[in-house]
Amino acid sequence: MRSKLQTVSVLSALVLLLPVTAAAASFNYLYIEASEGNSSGGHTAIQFDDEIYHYQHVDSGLIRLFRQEKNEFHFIYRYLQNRPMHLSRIEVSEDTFDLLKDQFKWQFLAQERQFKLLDDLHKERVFIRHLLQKSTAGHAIVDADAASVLRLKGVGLFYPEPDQQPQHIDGNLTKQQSLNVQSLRQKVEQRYGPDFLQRRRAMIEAQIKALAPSHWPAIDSDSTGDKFPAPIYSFTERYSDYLTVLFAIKALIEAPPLQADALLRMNRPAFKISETERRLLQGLRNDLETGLIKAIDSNRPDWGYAVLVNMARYIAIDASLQSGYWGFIDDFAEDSERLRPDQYLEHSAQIRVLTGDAKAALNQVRLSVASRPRLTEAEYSQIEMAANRYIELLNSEQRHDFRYNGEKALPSKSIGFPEGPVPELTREQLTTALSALDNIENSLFETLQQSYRYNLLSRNCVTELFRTINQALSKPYRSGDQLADMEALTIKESEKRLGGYVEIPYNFIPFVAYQSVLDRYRVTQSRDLGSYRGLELAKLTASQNDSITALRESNIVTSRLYRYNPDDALFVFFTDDHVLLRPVFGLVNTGVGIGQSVYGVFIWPFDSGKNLQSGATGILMSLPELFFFNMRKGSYKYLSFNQLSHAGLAEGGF
Amino acid sequence: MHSISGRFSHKCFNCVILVLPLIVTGCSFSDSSRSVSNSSESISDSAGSLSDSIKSSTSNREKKYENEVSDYTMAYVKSSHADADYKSYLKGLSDIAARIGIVNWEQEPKTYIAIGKGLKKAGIEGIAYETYKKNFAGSDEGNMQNIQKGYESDK
Repeated sequence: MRSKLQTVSVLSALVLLLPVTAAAASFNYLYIEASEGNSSGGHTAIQFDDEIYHYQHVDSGLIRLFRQEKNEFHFIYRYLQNRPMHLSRIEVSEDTFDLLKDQFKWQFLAQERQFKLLDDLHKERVFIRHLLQKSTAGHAIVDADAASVLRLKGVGLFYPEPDQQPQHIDGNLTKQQSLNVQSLRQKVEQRYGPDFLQRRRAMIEAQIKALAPSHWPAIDSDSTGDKFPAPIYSFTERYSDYLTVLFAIKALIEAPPLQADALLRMNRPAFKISETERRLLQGLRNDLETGLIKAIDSNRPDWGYAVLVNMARYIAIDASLQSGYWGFIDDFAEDSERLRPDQYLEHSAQIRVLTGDAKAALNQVRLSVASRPRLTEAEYSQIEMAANRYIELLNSEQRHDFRYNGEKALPSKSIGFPEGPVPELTREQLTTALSALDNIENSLFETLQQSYRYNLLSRNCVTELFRTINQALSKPYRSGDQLADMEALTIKESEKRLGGYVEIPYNFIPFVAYQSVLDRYRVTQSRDLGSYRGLELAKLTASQNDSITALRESNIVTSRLYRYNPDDALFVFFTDDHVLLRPVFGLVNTGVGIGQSVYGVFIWPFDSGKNLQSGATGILMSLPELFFFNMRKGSYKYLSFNQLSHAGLAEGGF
Repeated sequence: MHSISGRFSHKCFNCVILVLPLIVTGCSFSDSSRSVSNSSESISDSAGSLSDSIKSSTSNREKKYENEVSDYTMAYVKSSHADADYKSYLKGLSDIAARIGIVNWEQEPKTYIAIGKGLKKAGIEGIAYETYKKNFAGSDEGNMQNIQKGYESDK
């Protein structure tokens, strides 16, 4: 006993004598096990504080860096995708931590800028083509691309799509809404003069006519994140901002009510406004009025959108104060996922849990603001989002369609570009601009491909993660003249700062790379974090008979923890927790996959090959099971974060 | 205890098995209905039941807003010159503010404090700093004071 105490004392003294730089900070390396769907071969990520960075292969054939909050990442991968995760904590000095974190952050921001430029170039081409069609045929042929890209955000709150009639709810409510807008217009005129809006409109129309295509400089695609491409306020953005401004002015002058689907009203007791909330809402209504008046005369190019949102929220708050029940602007995005009863009725118990959670979240955020002296815009947005989600989920109680996700922090209901003033450009000018854009877009895409083209072996989620680590480590040497052996320096730095070096060419597979990290980096702690089903199964096994639970939960027919999710390829047996029986279960799963494929061939004309594709995926996921290897885990679509927050998400400060 | 050769052959076997599905969708994120640039948004959307109010607290969201504005400002000034058309910069600020539900970001002092921090981090000094400060503040005295406050707070 005494010798043990002496040893502890000696060790404590040694720890105290260690340099201050050692063990001052740490980051986590994450390995997510293989499963069907995204990143089916496994996935890797790196975590600095509460932010997780990871590379994903996107549809364009490129690989991009993404940043997500820790909770969100765990919820998606461990719970919705039901994949076990392995985590290693690597201790480094503060200096190394900052070096690595900054490298990932700046690369992420630089890439965001590069991909936004690519997106803006695409919009620019679509818009110029649209103008060319107009100048040739007198009207533009609206194809699907133009219809989805050329849109005016916020205008849909007050005006319908160009080819549709306005939809208003009848009665006193619309009158009151128009009175609200008229009152706001009077405030604007009191502040800036009676003909201010007309003058602004004339000025904007003149500016639209004088618009010319933007000059797009050569775009540098630096993959290290050291350089940022210069931002460009594109021709299309200018035009859509001007048009939105024209609609904002039009709305202030015409005082239309909101579109029928823009305002959500609930007369349930749960939505009754308390006296405290009434006071807070009155204050916010005044703030929105001030915001609207200031926005009209501001330098920001998107002030039209700001005016429309302020106006819509002003109406919603006024309607709430008049009726005594909360009313909200619909803040769902137009491409939100909509569920039909036949898609969710099988999961109605889980949907009820989600509805309960949404109600609790709304109450929680209402309660948290009640003690504040004033309600801020950001807090109101939180209430608006929580209410939108709850109201939408309530539709499931009547077995109606509902939008499952896509609520935004600001309302954004849009309409397509309408007939209206257009830039005065000749066909030749438009053709020249289009041709130049073609070249620039191709050139940018080629440049991006050189830096970010996905390759299974040499440029995937693992290789890019280590490449970025190496870029960070070699950064101090890149500022001066190019050194001859950068690789040797990087290895040396990696050994010094991380405890070892992971060679990219031999570590392109996620689980191999994870083993290398464990073997070579200065890993002080590692943990295996269970998937949702794994955690729930462990709980069941602890409280019930082992064998019966194992038997019941081994397949999708009798399982209580899993209801078949149509996003998964059809299968019968879970094989992740049955090593010895895996080939037998795999054989059955392969047979089911073959069956679904054969069925898919016959009904191909009716389901566009969906069953065939799902069956083929099922076979692919089942084949490794024949050789004792598991990939498929079964995924979940309707889990609630609240339901799982106690299941180990934040345990141990991970 | 595993022998080295045993461990190696186990690894090789696993590699062979894993490469098969990797060929199909390794590290992939697939959502063909959305454009390249906003695919990051659609990743978050898959967590439909993760309400925004749960993801982070109000104070965390505000801190995040300040950090994003500050980083964005630094990136902007590093990639452009003081006399550049800064409308694209203002549009970027609107996008960042929209993510936490703020449309009237011009009325938020924290926006300008964060801009000041970004200018400091970018190492902007002297006349260039004064030019940026005036442009970003829209020549408003209160906004300029907040930029200065942020600039001086970031040592």
